[in-house]
Amino acid sequence: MSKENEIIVEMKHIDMRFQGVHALDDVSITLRRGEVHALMGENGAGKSTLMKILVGLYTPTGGEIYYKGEKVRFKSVMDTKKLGISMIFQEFNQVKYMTVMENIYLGREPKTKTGCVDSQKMYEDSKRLLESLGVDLEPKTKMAELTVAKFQLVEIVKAISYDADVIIMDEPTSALSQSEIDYLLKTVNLLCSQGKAIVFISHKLEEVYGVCNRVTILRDGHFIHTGLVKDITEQQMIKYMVDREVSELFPKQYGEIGDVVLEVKGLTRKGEFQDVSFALRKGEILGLAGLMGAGRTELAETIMGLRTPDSGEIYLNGEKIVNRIPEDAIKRGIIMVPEDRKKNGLVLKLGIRDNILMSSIGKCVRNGVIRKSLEKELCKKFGDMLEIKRSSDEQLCGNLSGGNQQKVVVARVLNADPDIIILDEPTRGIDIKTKSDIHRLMSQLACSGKSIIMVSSELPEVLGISDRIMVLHEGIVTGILDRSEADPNIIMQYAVKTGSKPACAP
Amino acid sequence: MKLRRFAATMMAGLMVLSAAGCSKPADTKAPAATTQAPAATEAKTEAPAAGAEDSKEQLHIGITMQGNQSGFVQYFTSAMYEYQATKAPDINMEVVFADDDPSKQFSQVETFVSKKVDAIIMQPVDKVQGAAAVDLAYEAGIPLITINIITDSTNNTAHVGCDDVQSGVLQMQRIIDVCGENAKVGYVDAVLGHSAQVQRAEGYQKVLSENPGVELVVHDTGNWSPEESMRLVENWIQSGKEFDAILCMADCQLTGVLTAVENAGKLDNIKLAGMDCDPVIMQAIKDGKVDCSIWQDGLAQGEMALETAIKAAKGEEVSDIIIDYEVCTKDNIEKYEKLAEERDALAKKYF
Amino acid sequence: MSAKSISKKDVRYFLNNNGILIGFAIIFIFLSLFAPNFLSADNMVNILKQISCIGIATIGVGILIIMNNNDLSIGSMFGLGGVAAGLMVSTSVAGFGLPAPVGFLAGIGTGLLFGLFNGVVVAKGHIPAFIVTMGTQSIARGLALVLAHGMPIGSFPNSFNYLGTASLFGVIPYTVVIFIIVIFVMNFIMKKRPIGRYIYAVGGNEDAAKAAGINVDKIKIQAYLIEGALLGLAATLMASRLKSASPNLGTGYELDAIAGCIIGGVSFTGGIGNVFDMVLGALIIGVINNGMDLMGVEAFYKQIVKGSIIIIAVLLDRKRSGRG
Repeated sequence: MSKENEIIVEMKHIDMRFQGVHALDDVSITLRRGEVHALMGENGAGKSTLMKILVGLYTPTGGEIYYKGEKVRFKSVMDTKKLGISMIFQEFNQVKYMTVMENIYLGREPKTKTGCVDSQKMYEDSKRLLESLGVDLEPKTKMAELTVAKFQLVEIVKAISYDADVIIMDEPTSALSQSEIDYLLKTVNLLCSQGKAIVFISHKLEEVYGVCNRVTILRDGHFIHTGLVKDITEQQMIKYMVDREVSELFPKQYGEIGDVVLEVKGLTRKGEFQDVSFALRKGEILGLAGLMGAGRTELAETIMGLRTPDSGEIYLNGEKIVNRIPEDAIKRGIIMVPEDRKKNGLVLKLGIRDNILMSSIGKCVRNGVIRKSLEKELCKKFGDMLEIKRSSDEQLCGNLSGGNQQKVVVARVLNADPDIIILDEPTRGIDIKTKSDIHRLMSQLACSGKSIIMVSSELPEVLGISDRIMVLHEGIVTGILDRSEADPNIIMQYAVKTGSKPACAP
Repeated sequence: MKLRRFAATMMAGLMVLSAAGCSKPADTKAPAATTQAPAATEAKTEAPAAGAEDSKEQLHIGITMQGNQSGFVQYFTSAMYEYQATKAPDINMEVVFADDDPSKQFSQVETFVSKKVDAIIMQPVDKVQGAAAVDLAYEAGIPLITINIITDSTNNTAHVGCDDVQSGVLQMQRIIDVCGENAKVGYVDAVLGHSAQVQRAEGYQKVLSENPGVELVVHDTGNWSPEESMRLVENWIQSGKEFDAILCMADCQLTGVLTAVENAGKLDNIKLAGMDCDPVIMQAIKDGKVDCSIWQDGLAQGEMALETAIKAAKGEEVSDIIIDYEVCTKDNIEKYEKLAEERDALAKKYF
Repeated sequence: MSAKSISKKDVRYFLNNNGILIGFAIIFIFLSLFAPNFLSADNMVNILKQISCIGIATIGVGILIIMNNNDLSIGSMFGLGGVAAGLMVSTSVAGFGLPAPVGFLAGIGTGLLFGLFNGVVVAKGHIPAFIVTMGTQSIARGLALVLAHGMPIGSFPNSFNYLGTASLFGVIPYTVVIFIIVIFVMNFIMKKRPIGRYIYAVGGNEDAAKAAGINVDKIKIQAYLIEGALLGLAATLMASRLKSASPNLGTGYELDAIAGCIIGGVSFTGGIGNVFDMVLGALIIGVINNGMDLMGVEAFYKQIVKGSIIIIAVLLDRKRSGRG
């Protein structure tokens, strides 16, 4: 570790206002070479805003930035990239139908003397870069063929190709499975040993403890704490973030588990999952674990009628059903909280009210007319129940924080009075408080007799809340475990390879 | 314009699809009946039987028409078919339609030239762009007769058509005759920049400059749309403008103007004048709601064009023929109704 | 200092959210001052009369745009709907001379038929509306020309012309009355009926709407049916107003109708818009047309002014949606 501890970035007294909203109020942060600096806080605390200021996406309304000892004013992302600050966003900006190397050098392709693209040089350079990080990727692979985790690695390689000294990762692990996370964290360690400064934005405490040296915590746009990770306990950290003790992250309650309500027999969709059979009981939470690409989301969407199965049957209370479109499923009391709420969970252009009522507007109709009073009543009921922070029922969902958006989706789903709820990654990218709220709610729902299928890539979540856990590996059920017999190791074993335990009904 | 062309193509397609029956010409005894394929965009080459048997003497005349949707294209062409059937059964007539596309028309003329036809009749799609085709025929030494529209080239052998300036003069003169030398008039233009619009406006100006007492209150375009013309005149009346007469460059516009004036209760005060003798307007003339429309003799143009072409093909001396526009009023309406009936019957026979 | 900046912000907020109304007010005041007779009661009725038909079509295509769809066949439907209605009632040789209500049913029925066709192909064929309706534009125009033999149709009975020409209590033309009814009915549908909510949802995010259990295909077909019926009604009213029908009528009306929606703040990417604002958009176009005619502005300049206003409106709209 050369030049260890040299301060590379200093942001002092940063102040940021958006049309009356005080997003950042006097926030300071220092980044040193060779450190992984965790930036923590609930959604809406101002982490992303602070980092977007650092990369020049926003111009702060107050404060100063020093980079390598000099006072700077960044004007654009391109400026900062060239100076060595790169940010890896949650949404990827890659061209899917181009190759890995073309994406790394997009917009600054090496040229031959005649001005043509020098593919040979591009290939060699990207190969060298990939190898330097120990990434096992052929530069000529098409991006479309890669997994989300590999996408992320390509983004990192791209950042390094700019000779980045500072790399900012905004929730890099939110879309990854455990083994992919491990791989990514290893890469992060490697980078910091090369003397880079890394900012790591994450909600996951175990990652922060696993890989980060220092931590800065923000809350509601204010600076709260900065210090070494090893000097602060998990409880303290949570307290700093939410300003209250969160007693239990996964408040599991045990209810009565009844008869089988949903039974899936031999469900197959070619290339996605094969011969999946399982049963779901009344009042039960069934966790669905597996790596990315194991076919969990595809399975859930097939049950919902978003995809058509090639073969296999679904029985509801002993009766065979076919869900052509989600409308059919919802009429039968099956509903889903989708994985990507912005893509297919919410209409961001519409208000909270319209979203909450979208699946069940019929409830508010009397004599063919939508009654305002009934709408208001339902909005208040779910708004209060889920503590959705809102200025009015008409507030656009696009303007809500991630956690609040997720609550709106959950409200919509509950408003449809379902018996079976499928939740796909219900707590991805949301703050700890909301996460805990949603876990509590799931337990309550199960206790009140609803059945739940939860797809999750977070092992602690799966282990904490499920009654039983079904593990998929490349579309095949490798095991169905009882809560008592499950532990992270066993689940990982089933998830990474075809296990010995036969897929079976309960 | 574009849309019209689109519609024309579409209609051609539809007609082909729907039933050969509706576009099949009535039985004619002429041997060249097989050449009539009005719905197709490219005419078939003449029937082999007819072509093979005929002696070398048979005159081959290539005809390219603007499009096949507008009424007048139908009239011109029907008149030619009729002339061939009744007066020149021994000529070989090949008719193609250019779908309002100047480049298509150019290549059609090219084809005629390479086939070494004896004469060409061309209804130019475009005044400017049509010139090249005229020159092409001239250089090949093939006589070319332009019909209806004249091109910028003076190399055509002869031109058969009407003079749009004359139509403007006749219409305006008629209105001044009716309303007096101190009349207040307004007029509704056709689509601006169209050659008919430019020339008719020129005709209006000519008469107005000879009659300084007549006041031109206002003029604006109705874009060949009855609804737009109606709106325009409603707004004129609304703004308090006074008129003794309103002229329209097309009857399709006049239908809207008529309604506007009628609704305003000013039919007695404002004389209306149209152009083209559309059936709706002819009825209105009979009812006394419209003063006059202008009659263009489409059949005569077609007939004369073919006659001239045959003469030219035989090497005879030919000259330009201008067919006069005529004013159709309540007094002579029977004559034009009868003519229109004959004309439409003929068009139905061949289209 | 801070008080000043807040008031400035408030002004901007007000401008951003009421841009259409303010724009309308500015145009209105300008014309009141400079266009002769503009402010007379007669002229106000006149303007309403002139925008009624195109206004009905504007609302029709407006709900499609809210649904993130479109219809380019509006102009041709004015031709075809009018011809269909006209053929039924005309007492000329070409027509059937049937009673007036048959004419209205034929016009609206034609609209419904094409709406159904557009809707089914868009929803079930998964073809972009832009392309489907470009096809129907041509088909409808061609059919109109075939049915009418390329000639205008006249000789309508007075009973058919009545709605287009007569006035309620001799003051408000029935066309305007029907337009106002359509405005309120459509506003009711969009605000108070589930289908209205569904149209907004489908336009805002089709994937989410589908996942939330909305039968997206059904909603699309229904929306196209509503639009088709409105177009048929507008076309028939137009024929009744003109006392004649022309197969070539309506060329370019789709642009006027779509422009009305855009000026009225309907988002071109769907999900945003409301009926009253669309009407305001149509009204702005109507008022500008009328005002320029009254002022005697030359035809060439009229087009420039109209085009400029559309672009300014879209710029305002972008600014607005940029905030959201």
